[in-house]
Amino acid sequence: MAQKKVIALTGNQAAAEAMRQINFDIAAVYPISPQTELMGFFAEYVANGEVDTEMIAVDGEHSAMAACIGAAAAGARVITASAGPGIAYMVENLYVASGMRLPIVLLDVNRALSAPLSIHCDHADSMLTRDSSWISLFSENAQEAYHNIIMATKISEKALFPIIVNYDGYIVSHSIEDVEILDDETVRNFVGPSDIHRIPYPLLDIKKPVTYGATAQPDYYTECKYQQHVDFLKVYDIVREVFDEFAEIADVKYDFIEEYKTDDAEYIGISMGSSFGTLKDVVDILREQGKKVGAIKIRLFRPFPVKEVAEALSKAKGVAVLDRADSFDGIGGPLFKDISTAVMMSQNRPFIHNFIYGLGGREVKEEDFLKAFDRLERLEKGIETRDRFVEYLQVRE
Amino acid sequence: MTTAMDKSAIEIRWHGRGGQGTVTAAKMLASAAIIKGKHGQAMPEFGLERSGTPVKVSTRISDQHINTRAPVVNPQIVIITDPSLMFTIKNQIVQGIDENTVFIVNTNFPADKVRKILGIPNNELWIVDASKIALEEFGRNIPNTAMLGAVAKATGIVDLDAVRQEIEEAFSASSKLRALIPQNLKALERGYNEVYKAD
Repeated sequence: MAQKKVIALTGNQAAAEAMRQINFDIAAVYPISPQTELMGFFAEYVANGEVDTEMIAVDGEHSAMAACIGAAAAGARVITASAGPGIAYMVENLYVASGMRLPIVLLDVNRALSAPLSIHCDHADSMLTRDSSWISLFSENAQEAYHNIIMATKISEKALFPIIVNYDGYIVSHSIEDVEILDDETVRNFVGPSDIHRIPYPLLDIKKPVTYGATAQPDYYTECKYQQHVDFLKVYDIVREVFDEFAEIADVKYDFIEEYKTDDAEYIGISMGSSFGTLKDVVDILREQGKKVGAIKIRLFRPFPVKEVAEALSKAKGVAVLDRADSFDGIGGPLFKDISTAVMMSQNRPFIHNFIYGLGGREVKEEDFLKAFDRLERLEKGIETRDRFVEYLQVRE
Repeated sequence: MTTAMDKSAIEIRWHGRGGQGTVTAAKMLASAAIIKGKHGQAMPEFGLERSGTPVKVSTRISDQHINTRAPVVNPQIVIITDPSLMFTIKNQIVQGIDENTVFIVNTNFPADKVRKILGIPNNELWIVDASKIALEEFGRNIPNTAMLGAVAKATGIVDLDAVRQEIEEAFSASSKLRALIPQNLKALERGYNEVYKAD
């Protein structure tokens, strides 16, 4: 039976605790705020001999991912973490990792991209990874970051795709809250031993020599990508399976999305990450005023739970998509386009509008989301008009 | 503005300067509540991480799970760990307050002067010279542990034992830090004993 205890931890401390319990074979890292502190905590566990992890201090994030790729191909259980520009620098190798079908865990402590330089939170860094064939989970708080890292390790190894666990820089990484921690043995049993044969074709299996990262000429490249495409669709079932198994040890039943008061909701707000808690409180405020509103959180971002979102929006009149990143493409934020696809698949195709918020650490207040719901309702009712699908919240004029 | 926070929730806003331990104190306060089975949250609002720059931290303590990640907008308690901020960012300090907001201020000014500077003639006001305590106990102006003592006394939202436990844990990382525990516990107790409620 799993033993649990509630303690006060920051997001980075909770993530370091999950890393300690999982006891990864390799952690290849390069420091960047707000991830630096996380690896500082973990380096203490390494230095104190509390884990068997070999920590590789590399010369940059591109090399960090390269080291992860080599170690994962050999059969090791590996993790790295980064943020903002560090993720950007890693991108080339992200595609290599997923193309080679390697299980790797990447913690993205979400940070804005330069310029202007900002160390603070938004989701622009993670959006660089969205077409990379990495599985991607977003965490609302330190508790979810902790749970997601444990589940991600297993999902990645079952799916043979690398996985990103996102949690918001500073807002989650440096804030303290109550977190329920599982005992070490339960976590270690859940992820299982790091035997090289838990994955097919480990490089260190010298009886069965294999090649990783070979060239594919035009006669085979398409087939490789098609296999990747087909297998990535299988990730949905694997994620659900691991979520279900995790429910047995943690008493938390996770789903691809979290719905809050959506059953009879006419207007629904959708967000990812730490702002969802605030969005839920805003729903409660509007419910007290008699407004039928609800909220949806995207937990599994890649592969995108398009069917589940379509179903959840089937009865809504209007949808406000809250994007913590801009795409600068004349259409809207990255999440907006995913939700738009879901809307096209939903029964009655609700009205949809996009709001960009929380860029570069701009604090997110209840009043911001109250404005978004108000604007959505006015647009949907035709009281106000729009030129574009997308607008910014919180701009100082 | 209305808030969806549970009625049991207490919302606190700290104003300090980088390097004085304000973020640490806010976290210890939340942790001390969590030790006692409550839900707690402390969110620093970082500007540039430089010592001397103004730092704002939101702390929430509640019987229920805390959803919001918004900064505290309408604080029930305002804690000022650096007296000079009353002159430089007074408007931010009094933003969103009402007549029921309780103030806990580190200063050697008399109460009527504090009331005048902040424009809070009738609010509950607690004063402690936490900088003096810190200078006397460990020779540096790090008033955070003395402030925690003052907060425990003034508000009763955490008990002194839980804060003691937090300090012991927070300073347990190295022998160098552990050596500072006795002085900090002394500062905590002095903050608790020396804070006074102004007329």
